[in-house]
Amino acid sequence: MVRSNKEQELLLGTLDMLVLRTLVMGPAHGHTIAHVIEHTSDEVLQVEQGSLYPALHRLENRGWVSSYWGASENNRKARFYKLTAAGRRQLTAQTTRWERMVEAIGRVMKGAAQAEETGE
Amino acid sequence: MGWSRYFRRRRWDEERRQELEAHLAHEVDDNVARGMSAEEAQRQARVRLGNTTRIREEIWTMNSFAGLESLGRDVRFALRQIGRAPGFAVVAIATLALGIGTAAAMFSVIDAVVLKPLPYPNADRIVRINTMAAAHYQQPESWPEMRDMQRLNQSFSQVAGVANGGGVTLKTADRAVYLHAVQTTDNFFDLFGVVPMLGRTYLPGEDQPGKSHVVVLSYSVWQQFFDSDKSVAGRTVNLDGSSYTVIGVMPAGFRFEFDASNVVYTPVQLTADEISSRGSHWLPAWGLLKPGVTTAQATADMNHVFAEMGKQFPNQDKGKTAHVISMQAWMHLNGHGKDDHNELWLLLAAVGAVLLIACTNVAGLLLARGLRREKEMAVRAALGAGRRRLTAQMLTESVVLGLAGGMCGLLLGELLLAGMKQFLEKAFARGGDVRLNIAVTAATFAVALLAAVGAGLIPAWRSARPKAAQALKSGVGAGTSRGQHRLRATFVVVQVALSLVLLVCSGLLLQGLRAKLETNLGFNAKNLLTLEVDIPSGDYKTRDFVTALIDPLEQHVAAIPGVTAVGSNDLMPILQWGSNSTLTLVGHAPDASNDERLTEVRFVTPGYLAAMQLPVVKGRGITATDTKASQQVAVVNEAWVKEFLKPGEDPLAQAFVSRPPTRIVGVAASGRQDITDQPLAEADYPFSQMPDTWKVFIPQFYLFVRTDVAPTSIVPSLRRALQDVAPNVAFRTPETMEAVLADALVTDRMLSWLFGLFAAIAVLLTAVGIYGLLSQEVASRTRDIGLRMALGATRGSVARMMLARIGALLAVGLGVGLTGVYLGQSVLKSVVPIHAAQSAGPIAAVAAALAVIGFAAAAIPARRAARVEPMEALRTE
Repeated sequence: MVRSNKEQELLLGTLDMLVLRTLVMGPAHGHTIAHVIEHTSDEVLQVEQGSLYPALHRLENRGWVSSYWGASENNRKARFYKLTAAGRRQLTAQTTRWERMVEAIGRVMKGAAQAEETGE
Repeated sequence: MGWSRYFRRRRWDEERRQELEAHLAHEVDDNVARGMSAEEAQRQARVRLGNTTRIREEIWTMNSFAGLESLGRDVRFALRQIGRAPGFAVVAIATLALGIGTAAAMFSVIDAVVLKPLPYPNADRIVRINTMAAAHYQQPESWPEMRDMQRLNQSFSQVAGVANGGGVTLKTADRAVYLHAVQTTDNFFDLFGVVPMLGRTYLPGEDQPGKSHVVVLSYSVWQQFFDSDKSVAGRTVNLDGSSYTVIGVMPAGFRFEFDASNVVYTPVQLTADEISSRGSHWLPAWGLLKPGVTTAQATADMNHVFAEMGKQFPNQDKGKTAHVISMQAWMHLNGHGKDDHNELWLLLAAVGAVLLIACTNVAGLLLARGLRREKEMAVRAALGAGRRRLTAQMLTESVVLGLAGGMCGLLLGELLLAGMKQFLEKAFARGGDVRLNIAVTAATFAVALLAAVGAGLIPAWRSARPKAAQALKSGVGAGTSRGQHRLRATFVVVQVALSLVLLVCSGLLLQGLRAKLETNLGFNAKNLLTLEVDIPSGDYKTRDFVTALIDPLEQHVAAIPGVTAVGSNDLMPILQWGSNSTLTLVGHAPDASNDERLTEVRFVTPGYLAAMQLPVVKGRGITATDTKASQQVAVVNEAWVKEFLKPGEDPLAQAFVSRPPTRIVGVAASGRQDITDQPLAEADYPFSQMPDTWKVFIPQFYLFVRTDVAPTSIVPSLRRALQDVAPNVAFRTPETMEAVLADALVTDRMLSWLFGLFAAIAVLLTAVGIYGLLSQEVASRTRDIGLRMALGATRGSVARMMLARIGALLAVGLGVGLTGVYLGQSVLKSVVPIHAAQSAGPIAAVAAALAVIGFAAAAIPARRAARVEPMEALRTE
């Protein structure tokens, strides 16, 4: 890992949130989760697949998702992840925080953009 | 993160592998659907997912305790480090082992001998009722008094009489064996609340004449002499020539008395005289307190009982007092009225000192080692080792050393206890029970481990905190080590002081022991063999044991080659003493009742004085011509003459009041009855003139055999002689008089042996401590020394500088130690009497010796300092 811890945390936190959000629609296995995130973001967010599985494991350790073996849509054995009640609460909390942050960053950036325009 | 995940992480990993494979399969499916070739689809999928092993590793570590993973590595690392400096490891482990071993052994002794509760259900309620006569000497009860005490008290569930144990001879088909008989009142077993293993104990009234020939066997007697016969109850056995019925067997765990082996229990065998005589005191009283009654309450109650008895029988019972003492406490008094606690606690303090010295030494060693490794630590910290990891590594090393030291300590403790075994069995009632106690061993272990860990932590903290760069630059930082140096110097001072105190104790104890061993006993203890001969009373009811046993035995023994003299008496000097009477001389007024003078009374055979080599200085000794029919005679000793006669009075003109009067026919040199007391006034009567009514009270006599060969070499002949004369009498192991003396001094010998051992260990460890301190100082000041030498200091002055430093520490340590001895006098004196005049010499001698040893330990590093090559020293750093 080359990135500093803080950066990593932010990104990991984001990935966690995206995974949880994906699971609101119902249980899914790792491949689907990655696919859904990429697809819903119009291919803007490329999930680093190598980090996805440790992230899933971490979420399960914290009790936010549970997992079980099942058969996938094309009838392969796959590990399915399901949002738990605790995970749902966590998602709500994270979403709120995320929205607040985006809003804050947005305000800052908007101000900066205006300042640039006025040439001050 | 839980333990379950930790232990299941292999299965988890397998699941992750499968999961990742499934992922790849899905991705391949997708890729193929997009129109890729199978190979390309595989390749692309793998590229996207990345290294699956790394992903699994990442998840694996999430399921691990980092500490556990590294512990194994740390232990291996510690072992490698220890292997690299085996000298250091050996010294550290040996030091810890000495400290832990001695402490564990002594704690175990204290626990088994003093602290452990007695093994009876009622243990906390069993008491000894110690009765003091009006004249303040310990006095057993008479039978009528015992009855009154049982009847009149309010505090006891039971009051039982337990006669002072004596021997009985058990005659089996092929031999006679000696057993220890505990003779008691019928309620004796009710004291303990222990049920017999076979049969029953006494019925009420079985201590009365005609019913009292019943015997309860101890487990060991039942096993050894009755072949563990389960149907033994009801069997008739021959004890002391009379037949007894075996009624029961006590379980293996039941012991009373604690230091006796081969015990049997019988009721007291009362004579008509004993039943009626209130003034015949022979039966010590024991009691079982009613639940909730304290010993103080019981004492008050019993004093009230005695007051009542005193009103009714002023002659016998007036002024009597009682002291109710718990059985546990009574056992520490150990028969001789002396409290063994003091000695044991002082030993414990000595062990504490040894442990403290050992701990400070190990701490000092580890500190020094940590200091030497500061640079290594700094390098590792610079390479990214975290503070926690470094600390863990140092701690692991300390713990590994501590554990190794502990193991060796256990072994040492066992050895020490094995070495002390004989002392312990003879010196303490429960001395035979001492085993290395796991709990106390663990506790000492913990103390030592704590010291090692504590000492290991300091360098670890320092190396983690530091300006690592500084340590790297300066090598061994002389400046940073100053604090530790002061700590180690303090350690050395403490060690010197404690060693001195131990040396002083040990020296004074040895001085005292030697004085006692060299005591002029009056008789000659060399080449003198003693034999205790039990008189089976049943066999000598009709025969006179003097003419039927003693006389023929002496004749047989006198004929053994190598025997130069043989004689007998009724009380073994040194081991037993104190059979005394107030004797009145014809023509003298009796002593006033408040100022009675006592004379030790002995019965002897004609050969006794010659066998003891106590010369007759006036008149004659007892001879074979003194018979029942002839004039009653006695021989007194010089101490008697000095105490009872005015100068100029002729002892040979005196006679004791008796019917008819007993003429004094000779004066013999005085022999000590007790090892610590000057000879007491003694009168020896001939056995041949002993009144028949007294003979029933003589359970045994002592044969003294003077030889001109090694005394023990005649033992087989002695055994044959007894077998020839009296096959009904058990042969007991003869002891040389010197062994008897050694036994009498067993506590003194044990104390001087142990203190000597502890002092030696303390001095050795202190020497190691001094050596270590100075070595480190020389090592850390090499450059400084080089500089001084470059500026003109001579090698001699460098060595002197180093020695001066040790000299200062020694002086402070000795000063503190001497102050300690001075202040601790009152504590020490119960065991080690300190007299200013006699003790000053030995104290000065041990202090000087300690100083010499200290300087000797310092000499090697001081020489190393003097050999420093200035140019080289300046270049190296």
